[in-house]
Amino acid sequence: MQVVPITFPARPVNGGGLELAPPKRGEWSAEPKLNGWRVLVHAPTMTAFNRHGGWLSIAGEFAAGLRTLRGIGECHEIDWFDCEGLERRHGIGRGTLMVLDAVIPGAYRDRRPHLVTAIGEPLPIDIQPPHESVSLVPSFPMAGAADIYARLRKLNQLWRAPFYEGVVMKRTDSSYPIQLRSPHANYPLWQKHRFLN
Amino acid sequence: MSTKMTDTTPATPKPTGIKKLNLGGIAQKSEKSGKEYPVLPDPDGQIAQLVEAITDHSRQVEALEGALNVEKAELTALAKQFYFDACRGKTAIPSSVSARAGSTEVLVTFQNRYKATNDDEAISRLLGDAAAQYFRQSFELRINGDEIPEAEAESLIGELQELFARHNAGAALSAKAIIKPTKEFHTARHAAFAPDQNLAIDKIVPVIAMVKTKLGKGGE
Repeated sequence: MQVVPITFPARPVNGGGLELAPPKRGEWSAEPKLNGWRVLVHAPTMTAFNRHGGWLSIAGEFAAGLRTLRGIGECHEIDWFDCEGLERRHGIGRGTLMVLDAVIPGAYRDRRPHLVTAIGEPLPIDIQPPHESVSLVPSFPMAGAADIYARLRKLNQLWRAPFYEGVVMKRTDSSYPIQLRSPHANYPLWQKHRFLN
Repeated sequence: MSTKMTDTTPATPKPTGIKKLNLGGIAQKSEKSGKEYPVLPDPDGQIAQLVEAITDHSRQVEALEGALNVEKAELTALAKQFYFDACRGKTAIPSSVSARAGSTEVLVTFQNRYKATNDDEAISRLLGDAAAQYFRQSFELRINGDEIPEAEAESLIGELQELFARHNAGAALSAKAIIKPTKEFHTARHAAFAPDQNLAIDKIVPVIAMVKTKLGKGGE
């Protein structure tokens, strides 16, 4: 049976540079924004979709990660993983799937511990992910977002690679939005803050 | 009597021109050279000031717009629940919900306009038989007039009108005619016309100019 995507991957609203962003209302978490390819994974069939809902042409590069996610998905009853595939844009973590989220019910604050249980604690931001692996993207409370943002920027300079692009902020009460209306629809409960040039 | 006129002014020697090899068979490289753009002269620093101001303001606008989008979406989500609750069972419905902070008011307006979707399965799943009552496929066929041979255009349009009229669908056909430059104009204008002429043409057919700021990947 041919699998079709359950949703387009959630697309955060552009919030400009974090240093210029007005304070946010409510409770948010910050995750590093990674420079890679958005991949929506259907774990049971190891099928990878791109952000437009099409087949991911470079899925073969993530074969090991897809197998790992199938196992994790089976054990923890997760069918759909929202990932960033690290490949080609820099030499860091080639063939690795960084799990950003999962398309499961519940608020972010509830999905997150479930993902930590399933995948394991995320690597610290100053450790490069190994090649052809699966790792959970780190998450930080909103209060530390500005420091993390600055540290990620410094790590790019240290590693001489555009590995981090900024941060993605997620409202802790945000559910994963399931929609097949448009791959360009923004999800206002997530906001990205890219580094300014 | 025929008179032969003799030109007594000395002949101006014809410029010999630049000696050129015949490169007919070889594809010639255009003058385009990647992303090397001519730089706007800035003798008094005015350009640099504008560049800095535009970049700074664009960054601030981008950040403010991002925050505003999130706040508007949050208010809309809160208002939507109230709107559907308040309108339940009614046939005369308000167009807006008023949100207030003291004497300051913001309206959340629910227009009779909807974003398009291709996910008809989800609609049918939710509404069952009512889906067909309230939703239908809407389509628009477009004809690119530029691709129709000029000699055929008039008769083709005439036949198209007749065809639609025959099916009582004349109102479905609409047309918009504009005068626009040919594909070649944008480049050719610089060789064909002097700068003064180009500025005069620009008053009638302004070139679309955008100021692009480099705010970082993903910035506008």
